[in-house]
Amino acid sequence: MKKTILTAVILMFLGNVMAQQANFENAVKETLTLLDSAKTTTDLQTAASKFERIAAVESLRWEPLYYHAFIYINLSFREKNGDKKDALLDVAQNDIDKALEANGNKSELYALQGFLYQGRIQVSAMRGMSYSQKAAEILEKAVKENPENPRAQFLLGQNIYYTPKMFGGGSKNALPKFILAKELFEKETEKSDITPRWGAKSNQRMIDACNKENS
Amino acid sequence: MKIFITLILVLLTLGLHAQITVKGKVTDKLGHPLVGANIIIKGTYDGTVTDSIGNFQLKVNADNLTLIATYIGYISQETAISTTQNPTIINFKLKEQSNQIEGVVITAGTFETADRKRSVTLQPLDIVTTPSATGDLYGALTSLPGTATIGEDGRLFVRGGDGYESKTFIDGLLSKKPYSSNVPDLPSRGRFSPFLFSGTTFSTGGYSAEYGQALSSALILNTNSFPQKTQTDISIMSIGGGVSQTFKGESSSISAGVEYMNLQPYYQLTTQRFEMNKYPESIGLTLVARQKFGDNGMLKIFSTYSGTQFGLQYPDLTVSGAMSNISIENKNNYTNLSYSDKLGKGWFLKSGVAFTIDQNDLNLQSYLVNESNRNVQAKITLKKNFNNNASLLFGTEETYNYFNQDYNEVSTAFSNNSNFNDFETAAFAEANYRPISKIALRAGIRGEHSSLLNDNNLGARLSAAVKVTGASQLSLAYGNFYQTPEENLLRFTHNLTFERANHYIANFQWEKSNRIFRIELYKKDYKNLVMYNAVEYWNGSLYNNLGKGHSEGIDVFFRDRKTFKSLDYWISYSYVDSKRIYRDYPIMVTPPFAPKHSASFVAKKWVQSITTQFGISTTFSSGRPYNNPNSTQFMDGKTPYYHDISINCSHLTTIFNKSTIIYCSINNLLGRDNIYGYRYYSQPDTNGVYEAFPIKADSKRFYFVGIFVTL
Repeated sequence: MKKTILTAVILMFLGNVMAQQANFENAVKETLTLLDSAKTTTDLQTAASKFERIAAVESLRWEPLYYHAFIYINLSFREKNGDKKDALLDVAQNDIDKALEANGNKSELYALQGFLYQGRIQVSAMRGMSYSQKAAEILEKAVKENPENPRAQFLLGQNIYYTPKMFGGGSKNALPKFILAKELFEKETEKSDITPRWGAKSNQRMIDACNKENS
Repeated sequence: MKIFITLILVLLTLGLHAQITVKGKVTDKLGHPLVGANIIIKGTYDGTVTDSIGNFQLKVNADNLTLIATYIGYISQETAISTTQNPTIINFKLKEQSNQIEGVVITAGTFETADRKRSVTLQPLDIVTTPSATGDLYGALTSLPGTATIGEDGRLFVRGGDGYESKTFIDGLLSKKPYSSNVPDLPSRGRFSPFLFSGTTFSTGGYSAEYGQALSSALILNTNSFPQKTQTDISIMSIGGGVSQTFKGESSSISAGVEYMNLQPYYQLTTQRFEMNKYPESIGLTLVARQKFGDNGMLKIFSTYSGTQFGLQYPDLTVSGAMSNISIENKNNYTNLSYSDKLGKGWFLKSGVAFTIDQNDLNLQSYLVNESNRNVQAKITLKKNFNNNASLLFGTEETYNYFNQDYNEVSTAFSNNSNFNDFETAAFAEANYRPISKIALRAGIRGEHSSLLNDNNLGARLSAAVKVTGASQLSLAYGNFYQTPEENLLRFTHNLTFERANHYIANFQWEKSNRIFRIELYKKDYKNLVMYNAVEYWNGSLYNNLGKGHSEGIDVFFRDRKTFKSLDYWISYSYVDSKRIYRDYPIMVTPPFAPKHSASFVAKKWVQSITTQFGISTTFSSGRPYNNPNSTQFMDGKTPYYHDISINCSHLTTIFNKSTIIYCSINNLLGRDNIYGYRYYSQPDTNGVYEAFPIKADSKRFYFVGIFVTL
């Protein structure tokens, strides 16, 4: 009798933990669905607010921080005022730093850091030289951590695409990266879990843009 | 067992509590609604965001709950819900984080440029592409207000101040001889390439207590932090060439370069005012190394050596029509080591030591002047950030200065040697406080002791800034500045005290989306300036600190990078009314280095289709005073106005697939015969008139072509 109850309790405890885990994943997934369908800035902010709440509870998880940063970087691209752009990116930077402390996926977080640096360039073209170098550096690190990471390749492609031709940039030089990224995106099986999987569509758009320019 | 059942029951009953509604509003301190603020029920994923008027509404279980409100740029706030009242009303008033970029920064007296900030006035690239600068750091700074173009000197002359009143600091440490040496009446240039620096703070007054021994101005340069990649740079110029190699590792880097300049081919192709005995020739070596320690520690080593030789024929002003051979040889080494690190808990350390060794041999045919100067400065600074709103900086600095001069008159065999050692000890502290993000206050104090003068000084530095609207702000600054008299004044006596200046500055700045406008009013009072007897300049007992002076003026600056596509331009205007009695002046007059009006305009246009940038700059300044011995009034002469138009273009291309910049420039395009002042023969001619010899540039125009390749 005692044993049965003990087992039941243990099971229940485990169940609770598992339920919590499932709860976390569901919450992230739900918010990701919200993010996928987000169109307006307000939609993006709503999704970001949810990730912020999840991150506040799950201090050991890197994913909500990752997505919160991801949304803020996207918001910075939509923002026109340079100071506000920087303020949004400062929030994202803080998230990335915390996510790295929480032992998050290094390759994904480095890739996101590269994306953030690209956002910094938007503020002032004067920053182009130093930040595109910084972005390239950290993106190479992301590839080193996981050569299969399609987002790192896609962002490297973007970096090259927006670098002037005479410095080895331009669509011709960028295309191989986008094509490699495409292969990797296809390999990235439709994961149902909560790890990052964005980028395939944007990558396709860049491939189309490159092909159009070179045709 | 009962416990277990209870536990199960408790678990089961969770979620059966009565729900209540919590409503409220999130605002800032002044009651303005914050839209889209995040309301979090602590410990859960649940919450909401505020609507377009800052309101929120939530259904919660009336347990002991805590709500958190967060908003970008504001400090989060938590409130516990203790009542079971339905509905419960909870309002949040959030405080601003004042480390926000929008927070006000004190701008009185300073032109700051850094990678992170956008309120930049000049970037390293801007310096190189300013046509009138010909790649010289100081030349580019004279396109900013508050500076005067003194063509025969080349140093910085700020707000009616003499050239010696401006000091250059590299990574926080003094650079004793930042200018190249030249013969009298021909300009010197900055020793250091503008590409070595990523951040520049040019202060035309009221600067931080961290920097001392400069009456007028501090130019604070920060060397590049870490190279981006391993690369080779080659430059081929019409006046010389150079090569440098950079190696970059994970946590360390080193780069070494050599540059050789020889103006002989150029001078043989163009016409010069003077005949050259020895064409200008120089060799320069540069070593830059970086070592990272841990996450934030960084050791920087920066060392340069340069050797220069130059000789020409200059009128012998003692005998009409005679020429004398004058020549100069200079050897200079500057080494700067600095270490900076974050110590945790908001503490930040900056320390370093800088060495200058300079040997200058000037041969003026009838006499020889051999000077050597050694200067070592060690400095340690600690900074503590208490929170976002307050910080304290303090430190100490020790400077050793050795000067030796041998003076020999060839015909009379008269010789004189003077030398001295000076140990200067300084301590400083400065507090920064931002009560709200719209207001910034800074108060500093600096004390100095000189062993040579056997004297102390203590100066205060105060400044404040207030944000008036989102884009505009007002700043005020006040400060006491001291400087040990120049070496040549200490040759015959050490019985002098520090020269002194007080600055009062009021600044208004407006900045919005790539346009910046600033206007600054200032007043500068000089006291204790060194005076001596013009005839008996060697008589130490006739030296005193009774000189004084003042400068009042207005500086205006406007830069616009927005209105016209790919066009960047800036306009500067300065007015200064300056008078002083110092050195051997018999009366209070406007000195030659303080033209009343100065204006400059710089414009750069990037043409994407041919990947070329075109630049034009023009400088105008009103006539400068000079002393005419034929007149009974001291310093009552006035030169014609100064005017210069310079153009350049930089073309980006690839040669053998390597990125290449082709650069060319022409200075003084119109070939205007600018006169900087006059020298007079020491004896009157047969009519009893002292004959004048105008001081001018050695060639009317200057052409430059260079190719810069990165491998």
